[in-house]
Amino acid sequence: MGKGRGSRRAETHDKELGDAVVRAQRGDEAAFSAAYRLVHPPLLGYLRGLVGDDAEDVASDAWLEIARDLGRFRGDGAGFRAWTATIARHRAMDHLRRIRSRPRGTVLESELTGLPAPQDTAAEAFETVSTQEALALIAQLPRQQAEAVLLQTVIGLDGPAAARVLGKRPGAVRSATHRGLRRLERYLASPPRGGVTDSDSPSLGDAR
Amino acid sequence: MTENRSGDAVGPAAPPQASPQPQPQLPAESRQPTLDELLAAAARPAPVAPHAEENALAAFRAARDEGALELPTRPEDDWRPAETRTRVPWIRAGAGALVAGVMLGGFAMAAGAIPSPFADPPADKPRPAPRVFPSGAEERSTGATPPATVPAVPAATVPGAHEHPPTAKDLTAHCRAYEAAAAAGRNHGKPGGGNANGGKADGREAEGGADERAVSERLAAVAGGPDQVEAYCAGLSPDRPAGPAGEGNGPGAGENTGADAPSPLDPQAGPDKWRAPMQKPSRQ
Repeated sequence: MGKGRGSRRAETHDKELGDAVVRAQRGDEAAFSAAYRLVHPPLLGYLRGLVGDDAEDVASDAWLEIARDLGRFRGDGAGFRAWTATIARHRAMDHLRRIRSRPRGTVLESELTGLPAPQDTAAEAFETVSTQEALALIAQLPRQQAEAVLLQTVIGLDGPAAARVLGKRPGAVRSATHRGLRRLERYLASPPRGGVTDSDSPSLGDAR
Repeated sequence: MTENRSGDAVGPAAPPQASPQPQPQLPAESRQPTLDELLAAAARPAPVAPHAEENALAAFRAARDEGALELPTRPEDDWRPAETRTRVPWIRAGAGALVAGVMLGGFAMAAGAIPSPFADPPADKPRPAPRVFPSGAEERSTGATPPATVPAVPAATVPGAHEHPPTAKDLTAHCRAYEAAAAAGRNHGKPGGGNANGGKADGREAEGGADERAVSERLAAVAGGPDQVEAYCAGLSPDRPAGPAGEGNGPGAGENTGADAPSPLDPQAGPDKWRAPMQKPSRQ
């Protein structure tokens, strides 16, 4: 269903991405940059749904690992998206573990300092819903459902690839996606209360 | 830090919404988006911060210059389609099985579990023995299967015999076999008796004994009596040390002399002579 748009966008670039990866693996810097520009935006969206505002930091960590292990990778463009998503996910899990061991107030304070001014939202008034809002709403889902939706919607993976990234059976991921989308529809009908990108929100709190 | 990060990540088109406020994410006055719109918005790529790309590129350069691009692929790095992934292991498994088979075969042959073409040569081959049953048709097959039934063909009818008539080299080889057998016999208290090692009584031993007896008789005929054989052999190759190669090799004299054959102990027994029986199985 809704994952179509993200998947299609990803698939149109898969040939280009696969070629860029092959050239980058031979040492081509420009090819690495090309692959980065294709992969990073959806990766960032996925991470935003996992760790909220810390997505940039986590993505930066993930790219260090991606750059270091690039020579190990085997596969095409779609495979590269899945491989990078796996690496980013591991870094996000590490990050969430660190956050949970941190005193609660610290995160809250740092986020309060970055509170946006109310008029900022006016800039995107023409959009029905902003990317930020959408990702924040998906982040409200239980983590497995959120990840299943994000991997397929934002990264554009197919079901089996998403299952491999999550280390789950395809059937489990399929049903998690289904439940997640149903729940999102309910959210849209009556938006959930509570912080959206608050890292201490229940969905992220139970992350492992 | 937070401002910097958010500004870089999102850019002007999508200002940061990182707010723990109750419901800031959906403007109250707008209509509710559909699920498709929500997912499309989530998939919309955010602007990429330039310094982030620089950092990633620097990491790539550093890794490349350290030779990290040569790192081996781990299973978690292999995202090729399943059929590609599985085909390679199959090929690997096949190659591995082939190598393992060859190696096991080699070990088994060395251990004597498989009839080795090296095993029966010295005693068996130059057996134009005028002794036993003149059943010439059996020669080819008995050459390969160790001679449980002793092939006793007139030398003239056997092609192998034509190629290798009894020569001094043959007799030298017979001497080696004889001495080996004698040594084995001393060890087991039964001269010339490979059978003495009853534990491994698997026909090969019996054949070895028969072969050795044939050699002994043949040598005795040439030397002029069983008692003369040792002196005859000693005289045949005076440069050979007194201790025969078969010393301590036990009842497997047939095989072991075969293995020892090309040793410098007996350069006269040329390699061609030892190789000849090897070709028999392939001719079948």
